[in-house]
Amino acid sequence: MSEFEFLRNVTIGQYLPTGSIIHRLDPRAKLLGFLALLAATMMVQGYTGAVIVLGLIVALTLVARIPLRFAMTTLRTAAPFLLVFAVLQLVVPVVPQGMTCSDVARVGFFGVSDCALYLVGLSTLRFVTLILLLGLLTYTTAVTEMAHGIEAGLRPLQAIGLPAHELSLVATIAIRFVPVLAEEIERLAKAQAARGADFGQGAGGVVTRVRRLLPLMVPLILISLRRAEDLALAMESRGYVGGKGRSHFVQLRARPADWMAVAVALIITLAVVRGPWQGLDAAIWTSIWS
Amino acid sequence: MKITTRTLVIAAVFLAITLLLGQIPFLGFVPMPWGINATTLQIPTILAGIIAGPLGGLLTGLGFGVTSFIRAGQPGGNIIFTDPLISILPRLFIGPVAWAVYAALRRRNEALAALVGGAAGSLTNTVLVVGMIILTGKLAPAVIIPIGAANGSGEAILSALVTLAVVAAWRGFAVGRRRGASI
Repeated sequence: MSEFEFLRNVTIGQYLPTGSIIHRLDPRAKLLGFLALLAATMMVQGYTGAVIVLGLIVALTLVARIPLRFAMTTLRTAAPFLLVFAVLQLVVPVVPQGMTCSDVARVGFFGVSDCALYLVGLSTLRFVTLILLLGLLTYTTAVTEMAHGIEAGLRPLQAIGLPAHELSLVATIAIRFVPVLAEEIERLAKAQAARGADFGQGAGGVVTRVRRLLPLMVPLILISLRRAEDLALAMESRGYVGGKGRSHFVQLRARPADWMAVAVALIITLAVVRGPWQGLDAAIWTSIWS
Repeated sequence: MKITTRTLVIAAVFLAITLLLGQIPFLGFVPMPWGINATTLQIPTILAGIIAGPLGGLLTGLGFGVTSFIRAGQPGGNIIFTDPLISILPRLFIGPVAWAVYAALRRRNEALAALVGGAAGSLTNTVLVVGMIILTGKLAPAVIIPIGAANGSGEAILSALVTLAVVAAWRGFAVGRRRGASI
């Protein structure tokens, strides 16, 4: 019956409690720091800067006491994609304007230019950094912690009309509903299998395949809608009026360490984005190729 | 704008379905005859737009985007979605577009509105994701447009059919001579 067990593997991100300094940070500080480093990774120009950001994130992973081998799992599964990506970018490069290129190798129609090599390395470096950064966030922050962090972090923006409380409510209800709906799918799948439905990878055209999907999809969505209407009615009849003047069960309190972490992340981002790395890069680049 | 409790809860439940679909292979991905797996993950967002209105679709789309962003950093994730401009931004438009198309055609023929609304929502996803991949310079148009077209056409057909079936069952209208579960 194991093919009917859908509950087991429902995860958004994997949390790895090691109790490190980073784990103990205020979730708001963690999210802000994450956004700063994300901006740094995406905006940094050139190799020197990109390597600095990658080094920082590997260092943070070590500080968070995440075993590097564990952090590398994602990279291992992503390796084939990275390779395909690199080949595609080498053969059909996206060269920004103002870059002068010359061929390094050419076989008939397909040529590889120095620009392509330069850009592929940079893009691969950026992918690796982003994967490790996302891993760092999910390994050190539990999902509920993230929801609290997002709500509390966005609360100041409520003044300009951003529905912070509503966003976090949607996330919380969704996470709460996942196991309930997983159970519902199990029940539906068993009921349909008892009627002779086949959910395997049989042959057939698009319409046949969709028909196989519908006996699960349609009842699942209709049942979910009914549950949603019930929940909305229950909330309103208990006087739910949204976020205004609501007190919170979890009170987040930022300690000096949290402010420090945010400050450090912001300084790093500024240094990486505004730093003189591109000049350094060009110097290294010309010394290699001339 | 005031968000009603109903909109919030429906958006949340559709987000829960999105989270589940991503984890159940035979529901989340349907193999297409031309050798590509079309995903069904955009369907709950389309339905949230049609059933709970543009705001509901926006909220579910935001959740869908954030999950696909976070999952990109997990083992087996799709690395292209590690860029939030590709994973989150395009998904915000799926629900509102599906809602607008459905609302515009609804007076004429509700079955047609659901069918076209579903396809439009799915195409919004494909076109914007492909567009952002090109704009961020990740892949050349010559590479990504054929991939997007192959994926997007399958997903659009799939979304249109599922949207029609669900909306017909939810609103209780007949498609041809069939009605309710017999669709």
